Amino acid sequence: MKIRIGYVTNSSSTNFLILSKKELTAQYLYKKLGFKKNSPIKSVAMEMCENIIDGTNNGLRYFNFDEVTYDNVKEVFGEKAASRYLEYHKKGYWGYMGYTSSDEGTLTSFFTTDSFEIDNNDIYVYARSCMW
Amino acid sequence: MKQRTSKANLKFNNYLFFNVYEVGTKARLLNLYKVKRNSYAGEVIGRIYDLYFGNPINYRKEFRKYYKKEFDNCEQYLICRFNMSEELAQKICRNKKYYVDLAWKGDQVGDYFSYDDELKNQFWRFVGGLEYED
Repeated sequence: MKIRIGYVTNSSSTNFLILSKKELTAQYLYKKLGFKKNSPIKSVAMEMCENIIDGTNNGLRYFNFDEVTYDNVKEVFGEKAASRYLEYHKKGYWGYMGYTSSDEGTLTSFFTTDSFEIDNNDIYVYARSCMW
Repeated sequence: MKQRTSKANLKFNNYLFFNVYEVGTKARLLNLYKVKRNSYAGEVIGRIYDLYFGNPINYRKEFRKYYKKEFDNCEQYLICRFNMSEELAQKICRNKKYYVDLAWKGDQVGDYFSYDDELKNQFWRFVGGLEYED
């Protein structure tokens, strides 16, 4: 049994936006996030990627939008993310919205509670809408 | 790349004493974890490295610069400064030059790593092990 000593919060969740050049799979995300094939943390990293993919199937937290559109992205993530969406949508990128929870494993918990943006050539991740 | 097996790091109260050459560079750690440097994964691992080894203080320099007149030698300085035993001060003086005060550091990723025994042990294996003296 693990006992956590210190400040304990309830679980948290974060809505995220992913714009991807290719259709999103856990393997593709794993590679794009910078993990190499034989990484010693492959299992936890893959678990995080699978949680993110699952998260795209469960809709958003506190919003009831199913489609990834400019207006929806703007309302949930703000103007900056919406303009990125427009830019990448024109290039034919796939759009995904969803949420992860801090109850879903070590790296997923970190992904959930950290506030960040990733913008490389093939993928854009906006995860600044932390709710915790 | 070969993993370090010696006990390079020593935790005493909120202080972590280490030898930077034993711990290795951040680039080396990223290689061990097999993650790309300019990526999300690289940033996560880099943040854990910085949490424990970022902005270290060389206590020997600290002693020479500010406390040389006050204490006879570096060991006496350590005993008084950190309230440690003579034996421990000798042990640290033998091969550790740097320390960080972990009480002033904090990172969400470090917290999550700390609560996962497997990840935590793997990290300390990569950077030379961890000995507790508190």
